Amino acid sequence: MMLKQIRKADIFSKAAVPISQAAFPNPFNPGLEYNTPEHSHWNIVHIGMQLPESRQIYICGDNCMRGVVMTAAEMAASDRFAMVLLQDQDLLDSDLTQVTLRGIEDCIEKWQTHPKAVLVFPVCLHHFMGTDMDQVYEILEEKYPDIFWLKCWMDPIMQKRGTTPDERERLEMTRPLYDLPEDLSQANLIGMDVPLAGAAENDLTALFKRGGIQLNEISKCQDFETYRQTGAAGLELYISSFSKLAAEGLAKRLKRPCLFMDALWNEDEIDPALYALGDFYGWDLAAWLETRKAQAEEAVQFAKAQIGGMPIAIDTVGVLRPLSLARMLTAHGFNVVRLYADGFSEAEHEDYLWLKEHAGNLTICSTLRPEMRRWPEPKEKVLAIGPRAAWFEKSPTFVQMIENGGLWGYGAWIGLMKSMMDACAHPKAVKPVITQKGWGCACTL
Amino acid sequence: MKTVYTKIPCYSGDVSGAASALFELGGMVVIHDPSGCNSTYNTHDEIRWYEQESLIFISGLNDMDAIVGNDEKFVADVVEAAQSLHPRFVALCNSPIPYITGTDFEALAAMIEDQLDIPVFYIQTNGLHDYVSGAAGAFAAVAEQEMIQPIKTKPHSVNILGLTPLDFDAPGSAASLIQKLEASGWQVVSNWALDCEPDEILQAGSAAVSLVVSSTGWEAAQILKRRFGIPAVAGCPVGGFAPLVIDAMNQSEADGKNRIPYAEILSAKTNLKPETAVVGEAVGAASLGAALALDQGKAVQITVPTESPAALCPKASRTDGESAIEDRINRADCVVADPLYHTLLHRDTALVPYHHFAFSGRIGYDQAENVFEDSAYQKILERTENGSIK
Repeated sequence: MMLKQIRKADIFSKAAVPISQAAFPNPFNPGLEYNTPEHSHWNIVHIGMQLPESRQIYICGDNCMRGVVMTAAEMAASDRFAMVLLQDQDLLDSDLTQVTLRGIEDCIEKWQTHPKAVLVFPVCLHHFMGTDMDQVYEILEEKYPDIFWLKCWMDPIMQKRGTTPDERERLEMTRPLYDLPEDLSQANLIGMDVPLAGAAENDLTALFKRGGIQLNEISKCQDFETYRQTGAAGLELYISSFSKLAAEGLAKRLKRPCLFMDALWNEDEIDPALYALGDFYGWDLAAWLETRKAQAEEAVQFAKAQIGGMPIAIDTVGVLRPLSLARMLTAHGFNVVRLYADGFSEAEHEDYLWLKEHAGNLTICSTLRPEMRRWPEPKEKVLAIGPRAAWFEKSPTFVQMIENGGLWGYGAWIGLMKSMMDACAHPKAVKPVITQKGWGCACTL
Repeated sequence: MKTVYTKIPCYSGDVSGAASALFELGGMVVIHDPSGCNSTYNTHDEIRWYEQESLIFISGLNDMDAIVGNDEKFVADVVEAAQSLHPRFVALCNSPIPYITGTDFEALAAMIEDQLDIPVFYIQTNGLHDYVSGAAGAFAAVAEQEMIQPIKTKPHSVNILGLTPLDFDAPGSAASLIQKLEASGWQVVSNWALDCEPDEILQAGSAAVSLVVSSTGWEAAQILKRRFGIPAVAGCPVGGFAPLVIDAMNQSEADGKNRIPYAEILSAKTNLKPETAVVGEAVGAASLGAALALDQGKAVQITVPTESPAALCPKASRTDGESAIEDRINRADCVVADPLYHTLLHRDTALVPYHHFAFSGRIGYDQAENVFEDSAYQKILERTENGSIK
């Protein structure tokens, strides 16, 4: 069959669709996948390095290893990383269980000092080769009882239909927490990579401070023992759906209540979440909420006056619930024109329906479709919220953040508006910011 | 176990090597992989991804497709993308899971080629080898293409083979090399393949000699010799070694024989305790080592941690595994190597930094040296003689 001549204008018809025509929850057909040069999100190495006094061991081939070993090197954490490089004979003429076990033992011996915890990452190959990882851990736990072994995976082949490697890793990272008597003066925030913003920009920070409750975050624990002691907390909270497995798993193990404080942007979404938290602690939030909303509304109106009708693009790296944000901004008169997302969660359906009716200008753009390699620079100046939007819009006017940037609730309105105005006032070079891996982590580049 | 590493990273993988070799040739590279290969490649192994367009994609393989062999989806996805983006060719790369499930890539390539009017070929990667193997396979596949036809030989003309930013990362490296060859009276027919014109490669059959500047180009050179009778010379014209490379090219043009001019220089001094060691890809490290040996009159030890055809590796230089590399390089007083090797050096061994993108990637990239420029080479020479960094 000869190559079909395709008009240039049609090249993006499978990669960018007006929301009025976008299917939910999967607007695009899967195909070959493009990967942008934007790498702000955290991967399994960044996530695991949050565990104090831990080290990581990976067992895989050269090509898979390269990404993780260089992640560790770029974050100046090579001394907490070891690897067992698999070779052809390990797959064709060896017992991969034994190769894996001996490799891990060698890593421990070469390190000379024992870390408090080791996160072990076998890979897709271990599934397909029928490796007995249970046996590996049984032997390791007996031989090295002073080390806490975390049974992680780097198996992206499973992630499209099941648990992702980072979801599993976050769950494993809750296992060291002690089962202690319940302490209601503490709560745990599970699975967030970005520290929560201060009280002015995050309602949770503000309310926990107001209520005298200590909110534990892994990144604030100085050592492994301090982290383990956070098992005493009386409530497990999570903000990202990617942390659901970890938070609910921990809550079940320690028999604690668990609250999902979804990172939503609209009043009818934020209020019920705050009231649920208030009910748990017996807080009367009515007056506080009224003041908070007024401040947030004022911030939005002020920003709107500055930004006017400037086109805005949003992505799923910067924001956990992009449809919800697009709805909030559109409802306040902002001109949201593009949303970079390859799919949505069922929980976003209402926001999708609202936008379909009220946001005629909005186009949903894939980030993975191969055509997106040739996504053109827009003719107009665009304010991008999130690093991937900044890449596709080629826009120096962008808000650099990942996973909501620590913002939550009405405080998030205030924080985001401030960042949007700052982005407009101070354009910045895109490449050095968005190509940095694991935004917020240490970086040697 | 020699495959255990706790101090240094691994080199770029074979899939990255293949993608890097083909980056500028206008094709579409498809890696049959679930996730990660493309991200790793464009973050750590490719400096051109942000500014320059190249069509490199993954298939997004999932577990069920791998188990039940849903090859139709792979074929359909590749055909759809090719019909939309119009590449000049399609190259398919393998990764660990399709490798162990025995996916028949030759058949997949044929099925895809049936639906497109462009060449479709398979590069034998599996994610378990380093970049040299992948890039070599990619260049070899290009050399086999029927589009490259025999043309009347142009006297004193040369193909440059094995030029990728994984080994030659400093900006301007290709231009400096070409200028050096032209200044010696040689006309460059084709450059495989950095800062290059893809159409020039179609003329490669007319060159009098192939100059192989890294191991990644050796296999392609042998194919060009078989197909068009073009002899190969392996070596980089750097420092005092450059005239010997040019002499070898002149001789090979005259007698049609392959030559590796650094081999003799380095083997002549192997009995002496090395004062300097050079670590890196075989041809690049050996060429730099030969230049230092000639210019300093001292023994230089070469350590090749990357895969390479045996013919290109100086005697006993191929070294596998972190511990073996550590033992070997610390026999020298001074080591010319990528800065990330500093973790292997003992207290009394000095390091002369020589950035290698295939090893440390973006880390220290702003310090990369273009050794085809005499000033950059002189800096290394001087540091090796005097100012070694302890």
